[in-house]
Amino acid sequence: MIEKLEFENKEIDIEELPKLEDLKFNRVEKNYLLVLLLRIIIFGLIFNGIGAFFYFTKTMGIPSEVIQYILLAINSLFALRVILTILSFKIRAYAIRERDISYQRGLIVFKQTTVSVNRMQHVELTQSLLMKLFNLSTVKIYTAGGSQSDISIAGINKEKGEEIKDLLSEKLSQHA
Amino acid sequence: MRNIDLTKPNRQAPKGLVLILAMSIQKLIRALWPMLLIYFWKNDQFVEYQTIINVGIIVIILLLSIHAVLYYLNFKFYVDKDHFILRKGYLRKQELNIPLDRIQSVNYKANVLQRLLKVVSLEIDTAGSVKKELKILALELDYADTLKNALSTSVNVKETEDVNQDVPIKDEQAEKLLKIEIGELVKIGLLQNHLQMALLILAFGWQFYNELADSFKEEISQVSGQVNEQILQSSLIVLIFMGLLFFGISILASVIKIIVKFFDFEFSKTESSFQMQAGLLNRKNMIIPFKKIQELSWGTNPLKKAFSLFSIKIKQANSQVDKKKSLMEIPGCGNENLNQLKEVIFGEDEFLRDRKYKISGKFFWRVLFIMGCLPILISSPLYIYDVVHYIVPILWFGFSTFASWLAVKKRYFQISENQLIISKGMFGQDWKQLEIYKIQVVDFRQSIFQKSSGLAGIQIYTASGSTSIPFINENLAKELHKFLVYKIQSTEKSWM
Repeated sequence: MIEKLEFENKEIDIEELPKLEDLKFNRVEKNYLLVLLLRIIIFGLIFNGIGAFFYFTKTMGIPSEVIQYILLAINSLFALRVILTILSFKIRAYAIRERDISYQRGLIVFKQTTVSVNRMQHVELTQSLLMKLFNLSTVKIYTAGGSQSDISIAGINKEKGEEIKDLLSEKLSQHA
Repeated sequence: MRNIDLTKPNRQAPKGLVLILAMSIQKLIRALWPMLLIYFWKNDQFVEYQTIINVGIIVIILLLSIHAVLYYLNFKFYVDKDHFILRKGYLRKQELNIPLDRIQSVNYKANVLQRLLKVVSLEIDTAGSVKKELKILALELDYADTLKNALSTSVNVKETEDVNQDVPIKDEQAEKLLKIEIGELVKIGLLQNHLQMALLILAFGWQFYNELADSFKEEISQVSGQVNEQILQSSLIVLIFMGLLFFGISILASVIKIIVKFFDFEFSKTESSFQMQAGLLNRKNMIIPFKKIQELSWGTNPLKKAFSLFSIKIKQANSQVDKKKSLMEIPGCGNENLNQLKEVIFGEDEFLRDRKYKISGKFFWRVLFIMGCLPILISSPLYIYDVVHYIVPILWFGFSTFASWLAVKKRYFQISENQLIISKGMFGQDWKQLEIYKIQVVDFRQSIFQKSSGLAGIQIYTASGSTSIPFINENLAKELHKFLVYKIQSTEKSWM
């Protein structure tokens, strides 16, 4: 269906533009995988706990077989989630250039988002309770493109996160 | 023009009291209407409680009046150090603080009651995901004009004095581009997507029926018994007649909707902005400065196409809460008007020589899966026991196969030095045109299914929404991603 591969473009030679795929991407901290897995395990425990409650107390009279099947289904979903999280973890990476930041993630649907410094609204550093345990943080970058296009890079070392945030904030104020 | 001192806290017009009261009564009625309906319908059952009900009504009105007074007294706005500040609330105090340069547009509106009271409500739109309600309910017209100018003046400080001048509803300098008479509106209404309207009526009717069903169980079972019998006894002709009647109602509803929304439609342009006013019950007056336009989209459906009519949307940066409010719509116009608009917004046509990039035919399978297979799979328990019902999924599958084929055919993009056009559609067709430097964020995305066939997609986010170019060659997507990012970074122009 595509008649011609190369990109028709005048004046600027596209080959000379810095290539995004050649960017040196930094992986997020390995500890963050633990945070992600812990999160899934905690949710798993909560669901199994609820299931066990109905199984043993017979509150609402749900047949125990039904509960077994539901738990089996839920737990296999959790198992799938764990596998996907581990497999997709090595894809999570970010790259900072002078004028933009790129973030990539996703195994089933791979996504690489690029936000230019001159389009950033503000930058934020957050830390959830679990992440605090591992000294990790999330860098959130807001644009006027709406919440779908805002990127949040989770699993960056706290000190490094502060550094990135300061760096971007500084670049941002130069543009404003 | 009136002189107002914005450095001190201002209140809205005292007439606002009436409006606040009316609004809260309206809200209450909206929340309680099923109950009220029961009350009036089965009046006789409530006779013993009549006094309690009367006292209750008086107490409620009294409380609402107190609320109105407190709300009015605590509602203040002023400008301080380049920030527009709005304070409201008495139990939960709220202070909304908006930098003047973040203000997107200032619009005013008047509903029937406001027109009777000769006041307007003023709405201030901002960019970004700020969920803030910036609305002043009642202002005298000249006061609103002054305030609007005061706010928009500071917005466009860099521009010439043109903007500083009065921008009232009727501007002498405005060049009228389009006026739609009532006859034309009826025609546009007739050419709307009636299927959509029919579904809307069905959904609304269903909800209405459900809300009432509980309170009128007996009546319904009686009537529906009769109706069932009648339907069974009646011939095919009656059923066809009922279908036609329903379709007629849908068409009528489309026409009425268009007329109410776009009555006496006027569209004009000044040096720096588009202006629009329209509406039968609520007269809407709207101004979009050219530089705040993020995207122009135009579309047609098979009916409109036959009369070469387009509906047009001019999109500006919006807060996520009011997507619709920041939209300027033209219900129908010809090719000439469309080209005129394009020229004003984008200048000379850059796309004359540029080719259309089609997307891969594999897109067909995605659309077919989402539109055809998924609904059939989900609804499968419904027809699994009844062979007759197989006909519905088979018909739907055929229909969605055709629609998916159309979806591939109509999706393409064009790119020039500074602009991008994206087309999509099934039975109708919609186009979007935008300046590349107005793009906020670019996404490259690729599913594992696409990877094996060397395909990928691009998602583009602007301050007025997002668009995708799915299923193009992987290398083309990478080049496009790179080029768009380069274009965004190399511009000095501000996106708004």
